Amino acid sequence: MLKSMLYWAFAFTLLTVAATNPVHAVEYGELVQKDGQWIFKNTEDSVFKLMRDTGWITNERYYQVSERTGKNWIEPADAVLNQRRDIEWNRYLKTGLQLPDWIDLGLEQRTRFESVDHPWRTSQIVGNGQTDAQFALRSRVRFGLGGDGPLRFLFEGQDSRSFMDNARGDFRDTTTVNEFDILQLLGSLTLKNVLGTGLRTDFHFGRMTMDFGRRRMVARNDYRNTSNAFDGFHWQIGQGQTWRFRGFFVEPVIRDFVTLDRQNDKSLFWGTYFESKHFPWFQTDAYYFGLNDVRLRNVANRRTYSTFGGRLYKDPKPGEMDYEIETTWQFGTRGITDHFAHFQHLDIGYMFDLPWTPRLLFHFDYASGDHKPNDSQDEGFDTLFGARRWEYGPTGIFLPFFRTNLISPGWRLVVTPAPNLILQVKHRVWYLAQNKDFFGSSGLRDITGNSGGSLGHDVELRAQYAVSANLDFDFGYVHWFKGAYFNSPAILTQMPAGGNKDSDYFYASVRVRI
Amino acid sequence: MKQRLLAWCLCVIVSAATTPAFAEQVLVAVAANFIPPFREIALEFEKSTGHQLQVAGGSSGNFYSQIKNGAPFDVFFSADMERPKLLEDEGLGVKDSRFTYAIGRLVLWSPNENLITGEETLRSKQYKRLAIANPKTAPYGVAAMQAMQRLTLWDSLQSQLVMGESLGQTMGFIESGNAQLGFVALSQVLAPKIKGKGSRWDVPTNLHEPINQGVLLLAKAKDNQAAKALMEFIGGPQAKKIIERYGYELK
Repeated sequence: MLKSMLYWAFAFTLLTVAATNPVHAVEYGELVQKDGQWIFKNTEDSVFKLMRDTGWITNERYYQVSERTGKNWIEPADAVLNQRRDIEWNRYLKTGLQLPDWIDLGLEQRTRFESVDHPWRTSQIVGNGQTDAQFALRSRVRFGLGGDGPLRFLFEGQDSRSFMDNARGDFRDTTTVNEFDILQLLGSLTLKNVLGTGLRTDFHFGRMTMDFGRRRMVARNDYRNTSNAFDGFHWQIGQGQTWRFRGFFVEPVIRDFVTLDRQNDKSLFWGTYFESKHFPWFQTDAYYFGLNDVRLRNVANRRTYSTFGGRLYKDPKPGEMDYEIETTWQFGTRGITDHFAHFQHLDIGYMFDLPWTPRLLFHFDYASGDHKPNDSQDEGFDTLFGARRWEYGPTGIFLPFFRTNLISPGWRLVVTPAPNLILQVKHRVWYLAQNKDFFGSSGLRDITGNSGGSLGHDVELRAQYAVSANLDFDFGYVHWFKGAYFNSPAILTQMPAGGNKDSDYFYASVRVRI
Repeated sequence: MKQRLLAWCLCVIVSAATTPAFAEQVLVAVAANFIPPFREIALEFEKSTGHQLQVAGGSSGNFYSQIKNGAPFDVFFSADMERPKLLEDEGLGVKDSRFTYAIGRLVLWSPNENLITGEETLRSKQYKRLAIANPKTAPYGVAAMQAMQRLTLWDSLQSQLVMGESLGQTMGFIESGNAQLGFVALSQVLAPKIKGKGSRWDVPTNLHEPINQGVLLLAKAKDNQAAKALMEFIGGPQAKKIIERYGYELK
């Protein structure tokens, strides 16, 4: 009986699909030559096409949604706050639900498995050289109102959690776990032609995530399982892609594992950022960030900084050299000591005009560290709310290297065998800038400086494959050859057993957006 | 067993019923400016005939060289008359199949609602950059150049011109704000996304040679009934109505 019912259900489904499926449908694409043959390459989005071909959406609706790419993309409220790649993708769910243009709806889920061995952090007391693994899950929902109108609203919720990380030696904090929370909740006002000048201005108020420049000082974290968010306002004015000026005044959001994240008026962050793209060889950014963070009980850790910086760069192009220089200077007080620190970054690259467009890149980073532990001057650079993943290595439960007390030269080779496939190999050498200061946030420090500053070197392999803007995979492996620093007696006593042995880190992740 | 046989027969019957008889496929090259109306035309054509269209959109110059290099297009909708004529003369098109399917209209457009008030906007030079399609590759670029020459502005505006390789790129310059205004096709400005936005001046047709856009049945499709049906359809009342709605004139 059951078998018969199943059979008829199958037959009915088949009939329904056959009956509703328009056998003929216009296809859009381009003609390309491959191995001497001309082939019609369909450039349509396969999911939208499937929706149309099965009658889920009408042809008219299909053309509307498939046109919404590139310049026709409908901006959500956070378009000028965050990187476009983070918020621009096909909204299948919205299209499937036949929602009007002025409503935005999207879901995103990322699952990552990661594993690292031979932990070295002082907090990982029971490490014993064991392999530590976790599944990190990050889910987001976006709901926006307003479409292309001047007034817009956005809610973005995020749920970040991890599994397999309950062992005592595991590394787990609010960079990994932050359950059911509000990542963005904001209103925005956009005027695309202020007083007929052709300038565009945007005003945002509420909770928001922000990206500035290359994201070294302020970032909406991408690889990390949780993201930095801020409560306050943000204003920008600019002329297309040529230049823009941004200003903001916010309270950084204090993340909590399970309860709602909170504002804290004892932590204030403000700044201005100017970007100019007038000249391809001299694209420039200039910025100022102010931070007054006095929320910690320990007065010695309270931070009041002014951070000034600038960036000069040229975007990579085949057959041309490219470069990036970023210089950042920090003044103020840390606790009762004066604070003066700086960070310098240099990239020189060349993209070969060859198949796979190989790009060879040389990196150099210098982030100042504290010269003397107990004097009245603090020199450890503070990276504020920056991201590190793309130039230092994977973060998650691994990355030991922070933009503080660090010297690191290195190189990287990037190839793109297909437009949606990126392969990278990176090699960097790591030193402490000041031997007597902390090593990143590991808690390791030899105040005598006798342990030296050789942190070793690492090799990273990475493959990123994007099936589309809605589905992508990311795989990576890092081998960290630990340096002599970790074999010194003063450091050995602070680490979990086996922390001086080389660490291997592996991850595999998949991200789905609908 | 009988039930299964019945189910499969039903499947075949329903599938057959939904498949128009003798449907064929047509591979069409369409100039970028004509893509917005063509999308509607293609729908109507598909509904009326059941034939399937595969559509490639791009610049006329690029299609011309692709066809010369053996690209198996069936029908070519060009942005000019010259390229279809050349292809016909070179034996790559079906003789006497070529005709003008639309006459393009050139407009000066800006996303700024107050910028363009007419010809005087061009003379006022109250802008930093003016975008046009490259006259070497785009018929609309030629028309823009002719219009500026007749207004005796061509030489004085040289330092302010930015040239797009195609009309699509030209529109991109304007939309991104890299150029405050530019010469584009009226059909682009009447596309649903932009319609009613910004300010525009419809360039009088006496300021440039007519932008006659020609369609050609290509030699490969001389026996393709679907391609022939498309050629007929494009000259028919349904298609003409759509073409006019997108701001083109008809012969």
